[in-house]
Amino acid sequence: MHADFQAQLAFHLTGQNLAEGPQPVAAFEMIPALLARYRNLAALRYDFPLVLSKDGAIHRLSTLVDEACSGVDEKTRKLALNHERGIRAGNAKAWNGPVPLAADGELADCDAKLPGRLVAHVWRALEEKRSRAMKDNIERLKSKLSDILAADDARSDEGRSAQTLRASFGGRDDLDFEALSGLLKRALPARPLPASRKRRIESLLKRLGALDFGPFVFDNCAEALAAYRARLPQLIALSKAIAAARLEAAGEYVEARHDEFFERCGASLLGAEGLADFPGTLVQLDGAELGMAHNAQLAEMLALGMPVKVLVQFDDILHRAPVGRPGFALRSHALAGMALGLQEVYVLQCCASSLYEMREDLRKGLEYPGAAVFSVFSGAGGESGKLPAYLVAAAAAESRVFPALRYDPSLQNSERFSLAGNPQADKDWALRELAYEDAKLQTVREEVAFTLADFAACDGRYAGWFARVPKERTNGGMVPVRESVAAPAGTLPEKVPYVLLADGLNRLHKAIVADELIGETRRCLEFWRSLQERVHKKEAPVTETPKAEAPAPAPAPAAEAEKPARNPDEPSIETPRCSTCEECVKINNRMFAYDANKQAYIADLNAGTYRELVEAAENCQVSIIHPGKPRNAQEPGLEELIARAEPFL
Amino acid sequence: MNDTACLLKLYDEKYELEDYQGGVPRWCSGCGDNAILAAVQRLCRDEALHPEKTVFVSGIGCSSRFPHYMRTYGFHGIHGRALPVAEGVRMARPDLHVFVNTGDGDCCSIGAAHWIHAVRYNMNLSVFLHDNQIYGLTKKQASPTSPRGTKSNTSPRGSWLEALNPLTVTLGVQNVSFVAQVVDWMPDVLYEVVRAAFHHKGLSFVRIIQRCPEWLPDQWEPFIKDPKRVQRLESSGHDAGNLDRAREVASKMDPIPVGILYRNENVPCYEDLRRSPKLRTPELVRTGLEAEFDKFTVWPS
Ligand SMILES: Cc1ncc(C[n+]2csc(CCOP(=O)(O)OP(=O)(O)O)c2C)c(N)n1
Ligand code: SF4
Ligand SMILES: [Mg+2]
Repeated sequence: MHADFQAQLAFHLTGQNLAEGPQPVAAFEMIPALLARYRNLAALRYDFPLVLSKDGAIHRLSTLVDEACSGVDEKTRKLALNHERGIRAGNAKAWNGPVPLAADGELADCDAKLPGRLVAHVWRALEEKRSRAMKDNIERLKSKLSDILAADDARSDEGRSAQTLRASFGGRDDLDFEALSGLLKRALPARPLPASRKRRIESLLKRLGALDFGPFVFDNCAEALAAYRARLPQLIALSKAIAAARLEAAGEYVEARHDEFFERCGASLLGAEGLADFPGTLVQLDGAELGMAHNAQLAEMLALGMPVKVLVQFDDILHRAPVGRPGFALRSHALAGMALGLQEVYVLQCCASSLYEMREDLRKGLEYPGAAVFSVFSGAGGESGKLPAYLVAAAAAESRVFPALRYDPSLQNSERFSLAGNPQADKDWALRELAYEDAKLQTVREEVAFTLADFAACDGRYAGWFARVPKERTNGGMVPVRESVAAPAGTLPEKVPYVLLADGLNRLHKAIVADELIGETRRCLEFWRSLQERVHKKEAPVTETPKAEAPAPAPAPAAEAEKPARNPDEPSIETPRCSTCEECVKINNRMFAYDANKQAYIADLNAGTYRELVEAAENCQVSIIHPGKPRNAQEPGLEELIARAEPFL
Repeated sequence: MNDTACLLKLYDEKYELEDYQGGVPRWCSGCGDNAILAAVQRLCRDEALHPEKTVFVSGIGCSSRFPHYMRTYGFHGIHGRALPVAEGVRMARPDLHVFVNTGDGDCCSIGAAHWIHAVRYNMNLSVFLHDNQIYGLTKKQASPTSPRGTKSNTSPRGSWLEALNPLTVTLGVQNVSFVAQVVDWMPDVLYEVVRAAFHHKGLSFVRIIQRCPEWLPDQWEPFIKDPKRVQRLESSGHDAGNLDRAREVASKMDPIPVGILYRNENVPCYEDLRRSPKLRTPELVRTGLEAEFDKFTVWPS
């Protein structure tokens, strides 16, 4: 017993097998026990293959079949599922089987090409929509400007000549066009467009011309940057022309103001929002080549604010650095860190296996007006023997070595960063139930975490880090990797860590894991926890920008309580209640006048008599005129007037 | 590029009421139309509407003289047909602000069919119903909204029928999206509602109870004298999102409910559903017309 533990510990610490100790594992001999069930993917219904339809949408084949089958009988359903299996295995003769599917398009499996195809597919569709809107917009402006010129032509002497009039009537001869022409010339005085405006419109019509709509797709940053710089003057010129044409079409172009403005303004006219209307740029990079130099170029491009979408594809994240620690997924971590540090860049990182699930985040990133980075692990480049890329990618997602993360700068501060795309995102590891039969043929269920150590067990290059312990030698000195990682590093372990593996016959084995891999697993967990902290961290509260003041409505009548007491002896009008009925101003428009809101006030008491004041009070529709006491005691008929004024004091 | 457009508009654009005043109104003094005109001119000024981008469309009646008194574009149409004209303007020129002024005779009598369908089409228009409960221009005939018993030239012994309620009718039409009621003698509410109607996306229908001192001088006196007989919906906690409740409130006339009875911004506008992505350039119009004409061309044999 004791000797067994000694030998196991020795392997764990040194990675060297002793005779009589645990047995070496050959490359591709075993896979993690949790993956054993998924060896034959073609028999499973999962997210792939995808159907990329022409309109830019992404569908799941199984969902299309399920939707088509709703309401059909059981037999047809079975035939349809059979047909789906045929499509999956690549031997179906036609696209539509027993039930027609709602969408049609290219099939895309989860392989090395998937990330590039999927991103380009959605990007193209959005670009097309954008350029269509842009073209329409320009056409609309051009036709408005042409209308202005055409109207000017029609009003000119030439436009009103008998000849033109005859032509516009289709060359009829039963009208006297000379007379009509004379009539029109007399009736409508010609007011031609000012020459400067005419010239400006003509030049705008020329400048609203060609724009190169791309597509601008590159496989390196240097070319993308150079092409963008070369295109920028054209974009600025066009956006100036569009802005000027808008003003012109709306009749709002003021020479004194705008000539100078357009003379002086340059790139500042194009904020990220403005640029987002123009054709964008797509850059597809290979993560393996993202060295320091490339990284710097990429950072520069992202920080520029150009509407660039960058896909960085990683095929192998278990590539070992030549010296020092293994440094798994080092480059993808560095990329995410750099992009997140830029604050205004949309970042999406995920494994290819979750791309369907995260398609909305992908679309949002592509629609985001600024730069976006998509970092995707394809699962297709390591040394995983017969395991399909889909399983490798899914295993990477499960093990936290390539966690799904999304940063959307357009959201509120506290919602920008999300880990929602990860399995059991609030836990250290995703826990899964593993069911197997023991020696007595009884079903045993065990909760198992899928860690980086399990992920590394998929890769033939690292078989040497595992050593199988024959059943009779297993003992209480072994613990699952997750427990071992939870213990503090650096101390001599009391127990040796193991993972559960399955061989080609689906037999379960425990394998000791070398300490070097445990160290890497611990770092992986620390990185994951730092991401979790970022989610839980209270972000600084956003200061709300004050809403723009609405145009002030007319002063509302002051609340009853605040009304200063009115002196009944003084003549007055409650102006805010005036309903513009015209009565008082018709009686005397020097005494009563309208204010800027067309509501009456007493403009000049001396401009009229007390009699007029009383009459106005009587005629006022809303009884808001108060005549007060007479000021001139000599005015005839005062006694009667004072009595009439009484109800209005 | 919208930001560019904003940037360029930063210069101050200021209009005065006078910029919107057209001819001198020929309405009687004391006529509620004056109050409506003042409120609408204030709206134009406060929203800085470009006069050349604004159209008032009307039918026939005293109230329908409205466009003459605005210094904007206007269309003094034919009796009952203000709405179809306005819809045409809206369809062809989505860049214009389109207002409709119509009387109770114009809208609810001869123009009733257009009214119902305009509500259902829900095009982006602000419709003001000047309801004085009488035919004013033609010197006092009963209109559909005249209360039963109204004595007039066509009903000397008092009208026989119960009055039509323009609010409940409008609220009963599919796709209704904005219905409000105001009285001409409360300028603050009148202005607020007119403004809300202008900002509403869709057809906003505002029934404005309008005094006609010439033919029905005492009609609203009791309501003007007693403020308790007018109920402000805004302060009464009325939920303008509830159609059933709006219909209930609309059916009561004492106290007169004033304010927004119903508002739903989510009803689609016909012009948005039907706007052609194709530009109506002269070429397109010509090729379309020629294709049609060709169908009828008789070629000499
Ligand atoms: C086709 C047609 N029929 C009848 C008339 C006569 N007419 C002119 S105005 C009017 C009624 C107007 O009443 P209303 O719409 O309430 O406007 P108000 O004058 O009250 O503001 C009528 C019937 C007309 N001008 N055209
Ligand atoms: S008749 Fe009546 S509606 Fe016409 S202007 Fe005079 S008060 Fe106004
Ligand atoms: Mg009327």
